[in-house]
Amino acid sequence: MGTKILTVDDSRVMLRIISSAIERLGYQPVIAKNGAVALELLEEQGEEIALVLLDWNMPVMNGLDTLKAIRAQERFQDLPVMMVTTESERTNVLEAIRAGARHYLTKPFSPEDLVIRMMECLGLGDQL
Amino acid sequence: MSDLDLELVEEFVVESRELLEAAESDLLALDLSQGAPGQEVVNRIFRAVHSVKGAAGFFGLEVIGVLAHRLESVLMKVRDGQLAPTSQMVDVLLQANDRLRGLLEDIQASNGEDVSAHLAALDPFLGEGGSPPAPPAPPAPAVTAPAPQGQGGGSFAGWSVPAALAAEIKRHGRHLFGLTVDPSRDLIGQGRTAAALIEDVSDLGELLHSTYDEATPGGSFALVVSTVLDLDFAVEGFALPRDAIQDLLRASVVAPAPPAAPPPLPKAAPAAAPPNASAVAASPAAAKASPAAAKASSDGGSGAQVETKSTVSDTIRIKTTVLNALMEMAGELVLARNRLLRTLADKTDQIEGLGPVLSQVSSITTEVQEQIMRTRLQPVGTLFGRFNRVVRDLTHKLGKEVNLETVGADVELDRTILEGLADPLTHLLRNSLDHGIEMPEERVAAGKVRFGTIQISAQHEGGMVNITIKDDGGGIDVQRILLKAMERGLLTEEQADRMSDREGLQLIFLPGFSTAKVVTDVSGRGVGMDVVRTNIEKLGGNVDLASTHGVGTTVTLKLPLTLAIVSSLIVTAGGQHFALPQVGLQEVIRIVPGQGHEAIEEVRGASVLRHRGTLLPIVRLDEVLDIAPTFVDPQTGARRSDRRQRIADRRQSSKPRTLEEKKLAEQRAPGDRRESLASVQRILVLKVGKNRFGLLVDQIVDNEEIVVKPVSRFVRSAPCFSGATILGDGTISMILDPLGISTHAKLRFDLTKDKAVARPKGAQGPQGEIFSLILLSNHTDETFALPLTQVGRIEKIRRDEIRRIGDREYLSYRETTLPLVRLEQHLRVKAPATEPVEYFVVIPNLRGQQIGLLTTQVLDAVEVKLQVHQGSVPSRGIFGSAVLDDRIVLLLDIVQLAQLSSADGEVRPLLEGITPPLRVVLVEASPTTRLIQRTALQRAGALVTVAEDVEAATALLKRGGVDALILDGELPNQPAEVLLSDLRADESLARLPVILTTSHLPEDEEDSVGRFAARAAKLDIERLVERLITFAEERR
Repeated sequence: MGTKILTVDDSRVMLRIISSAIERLGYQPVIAKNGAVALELLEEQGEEIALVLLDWNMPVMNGLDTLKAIRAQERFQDLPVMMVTTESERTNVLEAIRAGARHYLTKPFSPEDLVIRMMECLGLGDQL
Repeated sequence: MSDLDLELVEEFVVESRELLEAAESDLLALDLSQGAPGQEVVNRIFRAVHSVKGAAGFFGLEVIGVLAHRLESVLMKVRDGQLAPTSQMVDVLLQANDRLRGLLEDIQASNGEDVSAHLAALDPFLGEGGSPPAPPAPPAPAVTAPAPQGQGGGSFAGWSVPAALAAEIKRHGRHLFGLTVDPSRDLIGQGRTAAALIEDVSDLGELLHSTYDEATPGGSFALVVSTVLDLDFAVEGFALPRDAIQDLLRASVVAPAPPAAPPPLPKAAPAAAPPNASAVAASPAAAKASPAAAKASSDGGSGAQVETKSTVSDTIRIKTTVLNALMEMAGELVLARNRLLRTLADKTDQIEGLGPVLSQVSSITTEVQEQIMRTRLQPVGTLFGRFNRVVRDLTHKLGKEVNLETVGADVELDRTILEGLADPLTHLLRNSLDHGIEMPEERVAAGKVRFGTIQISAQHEGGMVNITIKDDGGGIDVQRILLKAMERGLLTEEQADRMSDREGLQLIFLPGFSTAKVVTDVSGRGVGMDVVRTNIEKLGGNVDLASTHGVGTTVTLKLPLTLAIVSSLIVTAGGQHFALPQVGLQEVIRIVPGQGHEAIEEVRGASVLRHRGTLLPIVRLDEVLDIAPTFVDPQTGARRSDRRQRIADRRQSSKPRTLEEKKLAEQRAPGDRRESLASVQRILVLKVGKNRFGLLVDQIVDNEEIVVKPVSRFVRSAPCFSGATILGDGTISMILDPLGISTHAKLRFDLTKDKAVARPKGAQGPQGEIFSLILLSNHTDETFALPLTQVGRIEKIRRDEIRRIGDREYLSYRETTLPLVRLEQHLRVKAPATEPVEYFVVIPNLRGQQIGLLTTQVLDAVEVKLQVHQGSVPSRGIFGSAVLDDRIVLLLDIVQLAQLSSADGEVRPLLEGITPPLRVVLVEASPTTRLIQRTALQRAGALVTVAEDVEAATALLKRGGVDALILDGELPNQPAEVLLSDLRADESLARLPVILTTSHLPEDEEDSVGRFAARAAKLDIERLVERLITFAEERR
């Protein structure tokens, strides 16, 4: 099982907020500014990554395309991926789930929401 | 605060500030809608506080977190209908909200702050001594609430949830839904098969169980599915009605509900969280989603396509520095576009397709600029919103009752202007609340409604935005302002005497002025309207104040939409280019000498233009800027200096440049120099505050959008410029400042007030030395004046209408024969140089002998500041001379002139036969009126003693031997009725005849001051004399 959580988001503030929550969880945050970078990182350190948090709206390669690219690879079939969307992108949630997202989180979310949702993605929901 | 990231914190503070500010107006709305708060409003407040609380946790801001949490707990009860908001509760909530905002101002220190008072104030609303303080932040996930147990093993359609499955589902934060499918509604109705439904469900979750129940009429499916989707998404994703989906487990503790109803804190969840279904039903977003789903069902479309309405506005946050940079670049783009257009203007014929491309570039540039500008615009409503709070707090504090109305909240203004407007507007509002609106009892006593009304409104007017603050309060007492100004040494008594009401009101704008009787902590601390005015003028706007004592006050602020880009006229003077902002430009007048009636004249040493019945002062741009006037020599094309001084007879010649000039040039015969178009004069009529003036320029070159560049501080003191810009041809040009120009040119608007000539009765300031006169002339160097109140009519007649009988002249006028008086017959003045075809006949308001004064010219009806020559000995028919703008004006004694022109030509004292002569004491504030009254009464045969003031008069009267007092009924700060009753208190003066004089006298008010007293209009000499005679007769 990996010890890192990869966050893919183009917002610096968002990356920091999420990273700080990841640290609280005792995981090591890894960040990528867009989907393309995320795929490279996964290529290198895939086995160490326990969870991927994907923002929906990103330049270069959006969240859904990134998710599809991840799922297209045999070795990442079971890698938990959580989509982070905004309230206005609600319908995207369904699309993401169909494409194989493990879970989703809609913005705005509280720090508690984020921590709990990450734990659920990691199957640690019963420790809550 | 371990890993406190400054930038993040900063972000947090900015965001929280905005959220709480919005929460404040929502709280106020809550107060207004007491008892029936809109769910939306409560949710918004809840959400705002919740967000602040949540983010505070990230940064270890414990105190902020605790206070926000307690606030949130109360709001939660309101949201869930367990508490109805009361005014008192809103007060407490507002205070807590304020405190939160205060804590945000210095978050580093916030953890050391004590908020126990606020917590205690909030507790009573929570019942049972309030909730325990919440943990400031979730320190570690392990500490958060344990998973809710409860109905883990529920059953659905004969299928019970295995405990292991329930635990697994919980571990992954999933939901377990039981779906009841009605085939006719959910399958046939939507055109899908049972297999398709199962596919839809499997796509989005894991199908655990399915049954078919034949017993139900029509049969029904029951499905059990595990999914990460919450109920809202399930409704959409499965395309099933909400009531067909049943949550088989308790709600997940982090059910990602829409932001409209964020979930409670995890720790509080087991106890406080309602079953998921009901929690969701309470949220408006869910309510919206439901009909959307229903619609999708009836459409037969796939649920995934349903578009839910967003409750989060589709906005993004952009740093203002980025916007400013964009703005600047848009400005540069506009400049570059202008240069491009100019450079390529002649090439459009040579290069095919250039024209359309240029115009496209041009229009796109304009659009880009406009759109970027719009990003800086914000509705004034964001500002107005704050005022509810100000009004609410102040009315409570002051014990007043006030309604605040806002109009035009969606009018947009540049952000910078809006920011700069906050303080001045708040100040004005406080003024209205504190000084303007009276106490409820006072209002009722004054016959007004208890509730005062303050209206703040915004509207567009002429490319600017007007913001007015209007109250129906007590208005401003001008007399008190004058007194105050004198007390403060801002004004001498003499100056005060001369002031009109309007001028008096303007004193409020003097530094260090406050009229509050009592200095309250609301206002009246000496920082006042001068700061307001300075601030508004800094924003490129201006302030105007109007007030009626007893009725209310209106303050109008005029503001530009934006500060950066200004639509301007490019004009030239002395060969130099200048930009004139179109704000304030009212019209452009073109004067072609010899055509039309408009021409620049010299009136009293100043250049004026008679335009639409008013006199417009004219400023020549090159003169005011001290540039040598130039003209282009028609023969050589060389620029030469123009030595002609006067604008009025200036016949400057220049090569025709503009299209209009070219056209005109073609219409004219060459060589007709006098009529040549070069002598066309262009006058830009500019409005500065309430005044207008004309700016004479050489040429109007173009209309350009200019980008205002601030000028260096070395140039900043130049009065006529407000900035600089780069023109389309790349040259740098100064931007003209109309206000600065009018000030620098020392324009005297009082001489040429926009006032119609036909204004029979002038309204004269009650005590001011501003005098309304009608100026007459016989085309000689002498000017005559008659107080406007003495003028009845002015008629224009032809020479042949004058009838001569013997050596006298008459006019048939309204079925009577009016004797005509030529001034040169009775006064030692010059006769008209020539006999004109037309004359003016001035018919005074006389009670006895009617006459008509024959003159050749009516110069104007003016309100002037008059300096009467007291020393000059009045001669026959004249009260004296006054100096008006360096020219001597003879003030006519119309009563004596009438006598002089009577049949026998004898001048007889009106009080003839009364012996001994009447001794009269005269009190009159206005020196001119005093002079007229004194001289006229003396001529009537009375012995007149002028008393400086009422005290002096009383002393004189007490000495005895006085037959009557003529008292100025409009003395500043001394109501005539009060003076009169004071006077009557002295027994020796109880029966003294008194005539109260007023500027003008409504007919029905003539006798309403009791026995031994009467009223008369100040300059109605005949009436004054008549009263004196009556009193004299009564006395005998």
